[in-house]
Amino acid sequence: MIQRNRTIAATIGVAVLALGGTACSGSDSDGAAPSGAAVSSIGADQLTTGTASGDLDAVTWYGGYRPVITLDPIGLADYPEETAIPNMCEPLMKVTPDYGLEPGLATKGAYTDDTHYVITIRTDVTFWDGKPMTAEDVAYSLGRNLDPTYASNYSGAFAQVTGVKATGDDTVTVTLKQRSRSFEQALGTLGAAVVEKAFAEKAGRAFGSPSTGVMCTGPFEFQSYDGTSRLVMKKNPDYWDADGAAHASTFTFVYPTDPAALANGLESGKIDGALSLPSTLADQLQDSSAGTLYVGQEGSTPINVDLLFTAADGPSADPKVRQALSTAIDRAGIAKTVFAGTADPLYKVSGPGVWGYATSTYDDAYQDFVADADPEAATKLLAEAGVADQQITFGYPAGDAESEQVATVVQQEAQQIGLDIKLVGIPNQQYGALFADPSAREPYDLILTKNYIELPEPMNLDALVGSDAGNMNFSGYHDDAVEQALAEADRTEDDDARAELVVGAEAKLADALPVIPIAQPRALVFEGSKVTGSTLTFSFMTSPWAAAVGAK
Amino acid sequence: MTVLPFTAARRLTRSRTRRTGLGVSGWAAVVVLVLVAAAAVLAPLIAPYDPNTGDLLHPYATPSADHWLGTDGTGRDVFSRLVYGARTSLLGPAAVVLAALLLGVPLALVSAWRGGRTRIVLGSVLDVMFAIPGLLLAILAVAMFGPGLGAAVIALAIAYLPYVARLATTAAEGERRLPYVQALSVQGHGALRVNVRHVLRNLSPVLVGQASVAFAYALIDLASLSFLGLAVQAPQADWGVLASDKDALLKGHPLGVASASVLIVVTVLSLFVLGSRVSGEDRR
Repeated sequence: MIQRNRTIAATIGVAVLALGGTACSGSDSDGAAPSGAAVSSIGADQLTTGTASGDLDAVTWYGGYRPVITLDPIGLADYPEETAIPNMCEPLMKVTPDYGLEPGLATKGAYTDDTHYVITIRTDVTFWDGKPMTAEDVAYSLGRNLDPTYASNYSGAFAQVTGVKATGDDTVTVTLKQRSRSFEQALGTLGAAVVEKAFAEKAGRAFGSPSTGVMCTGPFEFQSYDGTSRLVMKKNPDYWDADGAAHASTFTFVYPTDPAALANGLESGKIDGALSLPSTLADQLQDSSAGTLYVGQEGSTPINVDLLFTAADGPSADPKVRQALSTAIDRAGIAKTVFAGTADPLYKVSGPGVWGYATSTYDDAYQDFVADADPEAATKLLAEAGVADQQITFGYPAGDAESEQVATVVQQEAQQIGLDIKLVGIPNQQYGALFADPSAREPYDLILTKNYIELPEPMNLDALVGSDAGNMNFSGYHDDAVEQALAEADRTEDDDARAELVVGAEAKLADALPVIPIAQPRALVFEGSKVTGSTLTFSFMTSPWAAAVGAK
Repeated sequence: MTVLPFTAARRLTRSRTRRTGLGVSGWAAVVVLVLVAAAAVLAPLIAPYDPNTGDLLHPYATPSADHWLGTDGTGRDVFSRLVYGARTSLLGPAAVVLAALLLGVPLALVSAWRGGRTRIVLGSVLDVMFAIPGLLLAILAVAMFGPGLGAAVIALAIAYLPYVARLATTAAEGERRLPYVQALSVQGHGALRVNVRHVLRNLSPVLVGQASVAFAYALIDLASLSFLGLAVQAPQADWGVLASDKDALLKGHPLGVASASVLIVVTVLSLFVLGSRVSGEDRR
């Protein structure tokens, strides 16, 4: 039920699946200013920067911390891919900026019984090459998630699915082992992006490569990609949804890897905007005359900056050691100093950014864990563990200022309670291997990641790190009660009942700490003064957001 | 950013090396290097703070009586980090140069003494090694053995080996042809004794000059690798790491970066000057 997100590099981590059918954006916090310099400039209900008043010839946008590796929608689930691909290859269900799921390429979907889910599709949609989108194409696209050949990064969300078949001109029937909320929600992610079957089969392994590209139905067509620095999309003139048609004739993603180069590009107007900006740029862009920096409120992203344990044995496997380290960490200090106030301290796996429903239930449970750092208590816990003189090796992405500072602070604070942590900076090129290859994780007890889910659903984030099938459960954590609670939650339609199950599981996770949450970044978006229409919520990771960007 | 041929050091006759002293610039370089070395050795006495412990509540503090050069992004004292940084910044290059000399000089002596096929084979091996950029080799080593100063030093030592060996070979071949070497051989002294006790001793001015220049290049190369996160690891203080603090620059606090950069430039310049003076490159 969880889908894995190989992450490659830099600051970033990993992710996973998504959803939250009727979730609302962020939290309902009062938007109090964070503890650092940057303050929220986004209202509680502001979902976009504005509405475009006209079209533009060309828009250039920051595509993410590294170039896209594959354009195949299910090939890799990470920031750069999920920022660009949904604009070309749309999911069956449309995700609105407030994380709602609406009819898109699919007009409806419903269970006919506990093991069959029938999707009805539009019949007036064509691919960019003019061929009509058929039920066969949809069944093929969904079915790729079940075929190990394609190694779908969204396979976890399809864990309950046993088959997908076109059962009519406009109907596709999905067979499941049981009802699954994760699957229904996945219909709004790139796991349910529709690709042209004939094109994909002909392309074979080249499907999604820079030279071959993809064939989809989105508001932008794939035009060219040099594989390293420029991914160019052009407007699809025959897009099926007139209201969602693109405002820009061409939309180009660029990938400056140096934050200074990105800042210069934004300030000079060569780059029109950026989503998921590095927090290191917040100060510099705060007062820029070239555009506006939008800083979200607490809970404006479903991203966790986490310390993730990777070893099943050794000192780091002792829950008391984990508790001691967690107790020693000054989360508020890190949020203020390292993230320049563009993040909030995070005390539990699911924080405000992922409470898509039953907010008061989740918030009440969360408050029990909110606490300042307590080095004395941490020292006692560590003494009880009796692991003196044993060293913990902590890997973090080298070359990323934010990550290095978090790692440095954690190491210092561990040292103060007598816990010996050795830091190892891992080059960006090798960091992704940590999430794909157990042997690459072997030298480390602990790594720094950013875990995220596309749409707010605490269950999915918990399962990611705390269930047997969790893609980020690297230390082999297992608890029967957690496993059962999360599995039952996936079957549970009622939000309140599901929230109770999830909160119960989270209490156990908070004891065992397979992961130590540190901070939850706020949305950080920059938009040049000539454009408007950017999405301010994390929904851009699953929707054709670039189509709405146009002239101010 | 890369290993360059060491053209500064040239073979000299014994008479030329004895002709003059270091000169004003040479002595100035010595003073700078002694100060840097003293800072490295006496770091615990000089540095006012632990270089790795910071105050999270006071990041990027401006210079004051408490913190002469301010603090970094996690509240650590920049001056203390610079003082301690001298250790790795000097130790790493020294290890590179020493390893390159220990490997390269014996190869050079064997090649010059034996000549013929041995010289051709060793020369060809060195030619192949010349084709491999030092930083690329270091990055490959880090990829294989993991990041850290050790892998980077070993890789750079290998990368520097052909430069040291080629220069030493040329110098040793010159010595080999001199009458005193032939006279020693005629007297029945063995090859090892002649090379170690006589040829090597006479090569020493060239090697010292060469080593000074190589040290400067190694310092820059290791700083570059640390900049990329491949050599010195956090939280260890190092000038290369300090000079690459992009976060400080982006947040408008360039003093630490500037201080580390100046120290690198001054140290490298001093080494160049000293190397040049010792080897006679700029002697009039």
